[in-house]
Amino acid sequence: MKLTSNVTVVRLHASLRELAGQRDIEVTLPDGAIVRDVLNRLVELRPVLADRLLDEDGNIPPCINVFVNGRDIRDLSGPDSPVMPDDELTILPPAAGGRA
Amino acid sequence: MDLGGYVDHVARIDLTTGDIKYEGLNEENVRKYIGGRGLGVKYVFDNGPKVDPLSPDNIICFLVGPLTGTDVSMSGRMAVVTKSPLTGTVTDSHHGGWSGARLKWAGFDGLIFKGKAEQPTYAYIEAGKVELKDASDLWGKGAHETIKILQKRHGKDVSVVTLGQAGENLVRYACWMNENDRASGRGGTGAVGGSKNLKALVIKAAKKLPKPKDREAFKQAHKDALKAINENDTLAPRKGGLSVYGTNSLMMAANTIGALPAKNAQFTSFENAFNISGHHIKETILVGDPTCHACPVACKKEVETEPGKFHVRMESVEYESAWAFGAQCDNDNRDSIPFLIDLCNDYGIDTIDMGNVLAMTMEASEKELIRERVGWGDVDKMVELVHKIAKREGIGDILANGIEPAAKAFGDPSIAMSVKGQAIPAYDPRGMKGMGVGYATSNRGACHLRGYTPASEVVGVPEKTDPLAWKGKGKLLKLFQDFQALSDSLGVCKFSTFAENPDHYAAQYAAVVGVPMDANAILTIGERIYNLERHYNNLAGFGEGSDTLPARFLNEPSQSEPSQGHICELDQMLEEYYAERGWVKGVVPEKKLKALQII
Repeated sequence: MKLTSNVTVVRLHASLRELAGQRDIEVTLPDGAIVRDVLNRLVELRPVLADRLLDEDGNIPPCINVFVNGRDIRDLSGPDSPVMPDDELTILPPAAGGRA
Repeated sequence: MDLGGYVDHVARIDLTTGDIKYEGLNEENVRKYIGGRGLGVKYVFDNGPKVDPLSPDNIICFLVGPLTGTDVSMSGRMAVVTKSPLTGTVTDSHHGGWSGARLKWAGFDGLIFKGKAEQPTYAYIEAGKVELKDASDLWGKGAHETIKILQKRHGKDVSVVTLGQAGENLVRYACWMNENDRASGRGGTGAVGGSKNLKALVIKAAKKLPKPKDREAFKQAHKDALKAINENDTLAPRKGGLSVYGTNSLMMAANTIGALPAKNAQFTSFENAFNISGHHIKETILVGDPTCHACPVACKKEVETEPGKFHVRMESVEYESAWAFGAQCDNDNRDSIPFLIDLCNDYGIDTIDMGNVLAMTMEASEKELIRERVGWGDVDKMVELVHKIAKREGIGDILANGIEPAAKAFGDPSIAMSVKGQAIPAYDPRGMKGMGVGYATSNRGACHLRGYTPASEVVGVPEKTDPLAWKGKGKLLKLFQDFQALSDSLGVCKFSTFAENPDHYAAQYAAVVGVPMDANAILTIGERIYNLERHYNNLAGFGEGSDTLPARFLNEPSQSEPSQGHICELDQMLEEYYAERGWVKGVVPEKKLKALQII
């Protein structure tokens, strides 16, 4: 696969950010990359995130929410969602809100 | 009445005469409306829809459900039900902590107050008896000091549910505070208390868990529900987002998807959302994780801010409150937010309405509709206005009447982000469509907790739906509204619905109460409760056209990715929703009332 200078910013929050040591990490991707490629590359760059971002089968665990330009990948094509140059990935823990 | 979970004991207190009458529960009503919210709505309905909310004729009910105070997980809830002085609808508001469980252990399913006491009064509740006591020395005091005095007088182990000064001054979004930081926040129930000269409830009771009717069935039902909670990605103790970060875990998600109203909902995202998020708060000022009766989740997040003018130690920085004083007011000053929440808790004011009122005032100031200068994010001015509103001083006297009357008085009703007089919570209907139809059709005015569609649109429960798609949201909302009316009526926390489904509720109800129940039958009860509320509102004057949204959400497209360009397709969703409900333009027809055995 041909490597180009395509760069995607991955924005980490909460404990993931603490583990990685920074919020924004730039990931260089090949053409035609998908979310799964970004996470694999991210884990190569920050092996400490491996247990949190991918389960033993290499899938994204349900306790991790991944967004591409603000769109939840569950509303797109999941881990197979395409990632374009200059896209931004955001990774968050689960959420809920309320005040009675 | 031979049903488990209930005490079969209610007090009717006439504050005008001082008479206290005790009665059992009506079994037919209990089977049809369960307890808590459902039973409270029935009491309010029977008292008549035309009553003036702040008159002695209105009633205010403090009720628990059959599961409150039992071994059922997350069963610490108390419902406050009355006719709202903010909206003119029936309203119910709920709090956690221990007062709900203690009311049950003190021998009550509920307390119903009517009339108006000649002097400030508080009710002391112990061992199946209510005693009215003089509260003259407490009148004019904040919730925190009132609780301190009453705990010194009656013992540290009592629960105190009290008004601050806002309820006394009839601020129309005043609330009841429980155990310092837990609010029955919405709908102005505190003003109803103030109108009756009712300052506080003091509840004393030793732990006395009610025995389930079918103990073997209960063991299994309880085990199944607890397993669901422990394995849930949102609720799992010390692992799930709600347990680790509290409700404010949602701030970053709502902002990321372009569904975080900002600057009085002129925008759908807030650049500095991280500064006021649960994630940042956990990293910087979190000091404790308090919980409620029988709750393993512990979503309350106690904080202590840094020394300085906003120093405070309090619980809890909820998502809606952080948003209301944060993004909605264009304020990213982290420590000002717990300080403002605590100030509102002490005065006994709903933080959601207060934050919106401040944001509306900022827009009015920017548009030069008022002479008062209130800059966006001016935290000192925000604090000053909270004091003025609670005391009804100067411009605060106008703002204390509610966001819609105040915006109208300023000459531009369109800047009030509200439905039926109640201000919106922290979800922008342009970026989260289900909340649009949810706000519009909520029976207590704009509200996220009548039918919490973000569970599906953000969290993915019971299944993930696209927040930007409107189709199917009417049907989804009806399910949530019916299901979550059950949480409020059984006496369990609504957050349990992230993990539990109607089968879990039915199994626990059947085991505790001893009445056979399944998922369909219990959802029908939820539907009945929702329709009774709507019928009450119809009779109170809410008809065709009442279910609407601020024009901003319908006409001004979102400017933030990924919701950029979206408005809220309310008409389409309402059509779908009304068809699902069997309503005609927001009105419950007679045949529906009969089918649900309401009439």
